[in-house]
Amino acid sequence: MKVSVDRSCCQGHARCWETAPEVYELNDLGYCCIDTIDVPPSLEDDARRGAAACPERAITIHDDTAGGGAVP
Amino acid sequence: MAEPAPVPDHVPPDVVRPFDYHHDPRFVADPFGAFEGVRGQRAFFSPAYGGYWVLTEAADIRAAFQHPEWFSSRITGIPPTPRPRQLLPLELDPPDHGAYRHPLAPVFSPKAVTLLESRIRATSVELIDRFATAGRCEFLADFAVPFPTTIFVDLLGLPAAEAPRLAAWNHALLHAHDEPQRREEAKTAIAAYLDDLVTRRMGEAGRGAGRDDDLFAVLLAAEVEGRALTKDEIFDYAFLLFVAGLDTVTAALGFSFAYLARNADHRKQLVADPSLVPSAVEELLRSHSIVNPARTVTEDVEFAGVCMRAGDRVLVSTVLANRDPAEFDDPAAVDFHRSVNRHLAFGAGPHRCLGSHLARCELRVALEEFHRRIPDYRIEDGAVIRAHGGGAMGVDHLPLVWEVSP
Repeated sequence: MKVSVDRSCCQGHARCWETAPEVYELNDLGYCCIDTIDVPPSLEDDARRGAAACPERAITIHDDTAGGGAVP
Repeated sequence: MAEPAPVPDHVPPDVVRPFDYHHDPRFVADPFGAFEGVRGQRAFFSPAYGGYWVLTEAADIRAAFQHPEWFSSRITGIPPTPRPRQLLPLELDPPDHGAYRHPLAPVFSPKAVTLLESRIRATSVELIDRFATAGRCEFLADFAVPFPTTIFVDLLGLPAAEAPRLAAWNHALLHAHDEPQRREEAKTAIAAYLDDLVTRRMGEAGRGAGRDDDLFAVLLAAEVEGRALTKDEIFDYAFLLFVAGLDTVTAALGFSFAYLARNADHRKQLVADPSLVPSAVEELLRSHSIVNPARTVTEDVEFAGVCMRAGDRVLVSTVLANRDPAEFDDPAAVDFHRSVNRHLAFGAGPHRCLGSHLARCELRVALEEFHRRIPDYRIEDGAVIRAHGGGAMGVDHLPLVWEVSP
């Protein structure tokens, strides 16, 4: 599974990091600083919950099993 | 009071609906219920306060926040608040907005707030200990007002003894709508106070003196577009922080504790399991959102099923967004276990509340420390709890009582 963050849409709510700090990293200004990353299987649930917490809908989950492109 | 304006030609009669979120008496008893009364029509036009659109659905409200190119922040109040200069960075649009917001971002980042938490906790404990053994408090005056004000005063590098004076000015400025003279006096007093402060701090910085770890130090060191900030700009930042940072946390605390005082089951959940507090904070923010900002349409646009004209005012209520049944199951229910809770209590888009992480920390600490010391309380018998609507809603008075062991 991959997650991608539309950083032009991120506004620094930091809910992803609050929910899943092992998946979503913040820069010093408090904005999410990942683009696309591979998520290890053990963190997939965290990654999904973090994506679902984003008020801007800036995070997309690319689920291998679902064929990719699934939006939370 | 709201003088109905003639409805403009581009507004069809079937979308006109009187709505006064400042003075409608229904807001006094239950501002959230009063907002619910308008749900059902995706967008409507109220003739009050010179006329303005109201968006009622979360998806439209989020889109309006996310598209400053259509919905400008140049004027944020309904009716428009006359101001000689813009509040920085609240009343700027991109790209200027980003340049002016940038210097403050590290100060209010989640990691910076983490470093403030021990001081925030000590402030809250000190206030609660003053009344815990008395068996009663007026929650606003004894806690919800002094708590965020003391933290703000500390951020500005001022002595804690300044907090009561600043809180009184702030309250008069934001809530003495029916006493224009008192309001004007408060505004003048705040302006003189901040002006004096900015002058002093700029003088100290010029001599290489003064504190280097507070908000003024950050503003004095900041560069926007390759130059230092002017005195007027530093004043405008300070004024915004003053009007935005104190009253909102007070209001969120007021509504949250009024709810918990009336709903023992929810209160008991927090007492039994303090690890629930962070999700309770989110749910109380969602169910009791307080901010109702406005935008101005930049160009003629079809939006939310209606035709808006350049210059039209639009209310983008976080209250309506966060109780939209299309977004939240059973939105009126307060559920501390809500699994997905991407509410818009702090807005969205580039103007997302800069103080959101500080506010969340203050609310979490207050819920933890208050319930640790006072687990069981209720609203004083016979007390009538009055709220106010407007751009920043709040509770006016909240007398709480509890049993004290002899």
